[in-house]
Amino acid sequence: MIAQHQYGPAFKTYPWPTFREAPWTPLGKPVAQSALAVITTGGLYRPGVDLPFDGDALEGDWGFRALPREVDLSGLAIAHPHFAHEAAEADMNTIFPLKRLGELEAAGLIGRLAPTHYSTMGYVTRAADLAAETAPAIAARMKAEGVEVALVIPV
Amino acid sequence: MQREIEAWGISTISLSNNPAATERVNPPRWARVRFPRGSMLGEPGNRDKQLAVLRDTFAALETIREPGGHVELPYRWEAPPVMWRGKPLVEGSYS
Repeated sequence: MIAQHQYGPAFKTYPWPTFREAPWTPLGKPVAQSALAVITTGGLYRPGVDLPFDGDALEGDWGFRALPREVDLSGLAIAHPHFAHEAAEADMNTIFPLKRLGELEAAGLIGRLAPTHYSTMGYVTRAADLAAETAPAIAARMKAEGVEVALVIPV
Repeated sequence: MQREIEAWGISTISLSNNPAATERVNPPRWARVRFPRGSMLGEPGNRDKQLAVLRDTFAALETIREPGGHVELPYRWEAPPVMWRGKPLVEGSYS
C-alpha cells in the first residue's frame, strides 16, 4: 500500500509503538542556565556537504544529519516528501528555530546553545532502528557537548 | 527519539499538533500547538509568535513535574490554510 502512496490504509494496520510509562530526567537547573540542543524531523540537510535523506525509500530513512549552530538556515534543503514545504522554505524557523533560539540565548533566556543541532527525516517506518541506532547516536553526541535540555520538533 | 534522549539524562520537551499520536508514544513532556503539519512554530516570518511558542515551551519544561505531562499553548494559525495534495490541511492531520 505504501508503494501506491496509500498511507491512510497502510497506517491503519501499522504496529505503532505505544508506551504506558515515560522516561524522566528532572530538570537540573533553569533553562536560562542550561545548554540546549534542538532536533527537527523535517529532513533538513546542507546541500553539497551532507547527503540528502532518501525520501523515496518505502521504509523511510532513519539516519540523522548534524547541523552546526552557525549554519545558514536559508541554505538548508528539505529531503522529506511527506509534508508541505512552503512554510519551511519561506522561513526554516517554522520547523528548525535556530535563529529564534539564538535570540533567546542573547536575551539570557537560554543558558547556551550547543555547538551542534540535529535533523532526522520524520517518515520512518523502522521505528525500532530509529530508537536503537539513531536516537542513541544523537544522545551520545549531545552528552559529549554538555547538552542538558533538548527541544524536539516533529514535523 | 525524545524518550531515548531523556533516558540518556537530558531533559526534553517536544511540540505536538497531533495529540493522539503523541499520547501513543508518551514522551516525557510536550506542548500542544494548534498549527498545521509542516509549520510547528506558526506562520513563516512571524517572529513574535515563534518566540512566544519557544518561551512558553521552555516555561512548560520547568513546570511539568510528571512524566508524560503536557501544556496547551494558546496560539492559533493566522494565515490561509496550508494545502497538501490539493486539499487544505486539517490541524493535527497527516493528510
